[in-house]
Amino acid sequence: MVNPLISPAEAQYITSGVLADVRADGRKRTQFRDLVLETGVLANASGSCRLQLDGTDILVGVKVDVDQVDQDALNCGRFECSVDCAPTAAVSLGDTRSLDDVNTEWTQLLTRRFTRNALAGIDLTQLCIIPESTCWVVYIDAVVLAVAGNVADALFLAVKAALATTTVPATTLVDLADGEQDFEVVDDPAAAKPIAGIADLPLCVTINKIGTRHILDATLLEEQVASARIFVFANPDASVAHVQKSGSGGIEPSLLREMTRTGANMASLLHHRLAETLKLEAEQADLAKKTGTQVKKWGFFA
Amino acid sequence: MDVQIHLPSHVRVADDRDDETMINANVHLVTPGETITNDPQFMKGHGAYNDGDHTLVSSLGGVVDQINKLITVRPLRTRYSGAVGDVVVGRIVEVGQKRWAVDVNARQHAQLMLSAINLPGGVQRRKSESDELAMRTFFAEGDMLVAEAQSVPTDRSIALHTRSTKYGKLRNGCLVTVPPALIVRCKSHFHSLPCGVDVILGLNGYIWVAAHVAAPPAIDEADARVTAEALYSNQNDEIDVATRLNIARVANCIRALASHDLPVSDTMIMYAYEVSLAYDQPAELLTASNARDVATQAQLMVQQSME
Repeated sequence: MVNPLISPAEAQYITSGVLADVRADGRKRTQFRDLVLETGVLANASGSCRLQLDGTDILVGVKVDVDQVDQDALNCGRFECSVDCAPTAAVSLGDTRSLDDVNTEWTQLLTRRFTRNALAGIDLTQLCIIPESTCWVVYIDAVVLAVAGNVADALFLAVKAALATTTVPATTLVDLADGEQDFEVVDDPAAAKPIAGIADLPLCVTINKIGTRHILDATLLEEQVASARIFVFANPDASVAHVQKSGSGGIEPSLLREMTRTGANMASLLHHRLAETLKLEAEQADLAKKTGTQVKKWGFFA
Repeated sequence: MDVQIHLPSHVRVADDRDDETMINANVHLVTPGETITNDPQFMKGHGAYNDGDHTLVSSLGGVVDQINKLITVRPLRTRYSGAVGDVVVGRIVEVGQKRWAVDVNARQHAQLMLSAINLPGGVQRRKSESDELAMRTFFAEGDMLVAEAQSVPTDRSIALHTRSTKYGKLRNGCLVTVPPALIVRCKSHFHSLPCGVDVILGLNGYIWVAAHVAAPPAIDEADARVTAEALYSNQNDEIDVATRLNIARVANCIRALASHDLPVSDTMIMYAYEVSLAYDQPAELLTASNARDVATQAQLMVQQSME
């Protein structure tokens, strides 16, 4: 995690504020900040998204590429993830070591959700081009441009939005004479298909424990005060896919249950809101297509 | 429990201050690398350099200033540069030998010398070796403080001092950061707002918003000692929910003003605060449209009061 400096008085102010249900910016414990999201911001990527959560700013680019299949899964494609944090994202990221640490931490957090086992909801054989030979690899590259707390939630939301708008080109198999096969990529962009099952990809909600209470969507300073946090990965129907704990403090069993439930409910809500926003964006694009105009992308001016 | 995911087109509206007003304001805006003039009679100042023989080129994105033959570029976004007598809010980042390094949003850390602070109890003497060992009991890493710029040496590292009861460690509140250019220079930068919130407007863009603490007048020596010891305390006072909500409201008003590039002064904050009372919960001001509403209305009120 990004560790800014904090004074004991600030820490105490935050802790007692959480207890009183009035956080430093006036939010209640389970209140989320507004998100701003736009997809299709990178022309050269197969799918992309820029997401802002207050000061947290994340850019995700997805690129599909052809590669050899894994030897232990001959009919499947795969996902590969990397997260790169900008050195200017937070003041405390000045030295290379802490930057490497956060890059590794966030890359691992993402990679763990995109292994073959974790991706049970997505049929990976759809990414296979020639069985036992060639497949599509989906490279997910995220850049954290600025950090103002709650990077994990924003990261997974941005990745999901980018994947939802990703299209994989269609291919046709060509039989070579000696029983070998080759393939050709269909040039027509209309033939490219989205990856099936992305809508069910779990989202992450981080719950920080401060004092004896827990909060959603922590700011950078609140994360610094938190004694423990759990990452709850939950499906659209609020069922929990995976929970991961970090931080040195302990969490009581009863509180853990409450925290997980809060997280799962929030994740479910985020799923629905994301689907609504993506639908709205698609409708705008459709409308523009019909009228022959182009939707103005905000990109880096958002 | 709810959350909103917006598209940029819904929350970011085009700036209605159009190009025409910019041209009428007679402002010469330049981007880095843009030629300012080809006239050989001008001299280069800060933010400008000679490219070739007579071409004067901007090295910054900002506004061109001309004083006689000297051309300088004032950057639009910049760090705090420091001037003697400025009230600044900062955070201790390092405890060194006889000095603290303080983050004041400048290009370099500011220096606070051990000899430039008040000792608890207000005793006047030279600082000894034992004071040097006890430096962390005065200020430790992460502590917030308010200080005055004592001098700005040629290397631009600002030297601070806290030798007044006005200055010292900060408690009972939270920090709001805005671009330093937005802070209006005025007679006092310590304000007690009528809503029971104290605001310290650091000229470096760091603003401390805290619960109002009445400074008890020191009657005798014992009292003076208690006040002085409280000077370096890390303990917050008891803050009730109403005050917390007011602190949050003021902080969010300042954020709303800053996000719309409006100047931040005590009157601006009060206008914004009054407008913001239309919203029940301070957290509603975090929504972009509400923040815009508060900022534009506060701006209108200031314009009306000046007429």
